[in-house]
Amino acid sequence: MHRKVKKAKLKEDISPNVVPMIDIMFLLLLFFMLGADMSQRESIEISIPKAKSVPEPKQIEDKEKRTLTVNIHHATPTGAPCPINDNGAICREEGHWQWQILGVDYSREEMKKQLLLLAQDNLDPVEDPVAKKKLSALFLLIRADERAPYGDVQKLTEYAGIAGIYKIQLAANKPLPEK
Amino acid sequence: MAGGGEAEDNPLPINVVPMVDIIFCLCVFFMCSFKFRETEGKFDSWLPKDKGEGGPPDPGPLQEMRVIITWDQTSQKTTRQYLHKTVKDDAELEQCIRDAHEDFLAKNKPDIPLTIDGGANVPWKEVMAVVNIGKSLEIKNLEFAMGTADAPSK
Repeated sequence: MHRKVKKAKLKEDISPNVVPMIDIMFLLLLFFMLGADMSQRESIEISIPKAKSVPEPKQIEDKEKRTLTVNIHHATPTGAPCPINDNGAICREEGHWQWQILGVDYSREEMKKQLLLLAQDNLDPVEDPVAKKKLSALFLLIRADERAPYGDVQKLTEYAGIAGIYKIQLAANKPLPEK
Repeated sequence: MAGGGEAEDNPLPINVVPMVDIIFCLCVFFMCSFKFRETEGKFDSWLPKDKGEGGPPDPGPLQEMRVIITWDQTSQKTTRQYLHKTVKDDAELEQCIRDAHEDFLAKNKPDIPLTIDGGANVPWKEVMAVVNIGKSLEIKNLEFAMGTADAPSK
């Protein structure tokens, strides 16, 4: 009888209490779930140039403001690796720099048409007195990789101008403060 | 919060092990996909409304602060010139632009533009570096010229 009691006590002592661990894990899970960005990605992972004087982004963006983000990024047409780019050098191969909207790559001509369509869909209701025509109310945010050719940005800007999109924004990263 | 208590008090013990396993997996998934993003800002750069679509180039103002950027693919190097002077680094370029800008301000000409004249193959970061200098010096007018030819490969 005496032995049995001892055994039961031993069993009780070695069972760990997992409740605090579950509590903490729930909190961690909640933190990471809320921190995760699951929205549709307008901005792809590219290394955009750094600029100290870039203004801080506004916490609350104007809801009426419609922004079209175009990413200029390096990708070969076949998806094959590019040895020049992979070695950290600057690639200027024909067709290696892609223009992308919402995850879809467009050729130069397709982008020109796309900009025209989007500009027409977002026309300002009032005619501009300077341009003497209705311009687009759309903002065009150009997110170009820091190694992208300047010619591509120029071309994209030119197409935007032709489409009547004149509000151009250039994305840049604010460098982290030096320690 | 989940409450504690003696095991004897709980008439219906629940096996929490599968739940803990799943929470662990979820935790690992979200931890791996979590990223601290850098602050991304944007420079406003409105296109002129009163200038033509294409057509002959604008003769431009007689006075300007022009930075010419060229790119040599073979050496993978950028050359920057302020007017006719080749500049070595950002600090020297900033000094040249600052001197000229202050000079124009003294002459009551604050609208003289900083013109960035880059070749088509120049890396974007080099152009943005000049934009950054212009913005930090609070130059009102920044203009992008259609690029000159890049330096020929040797």
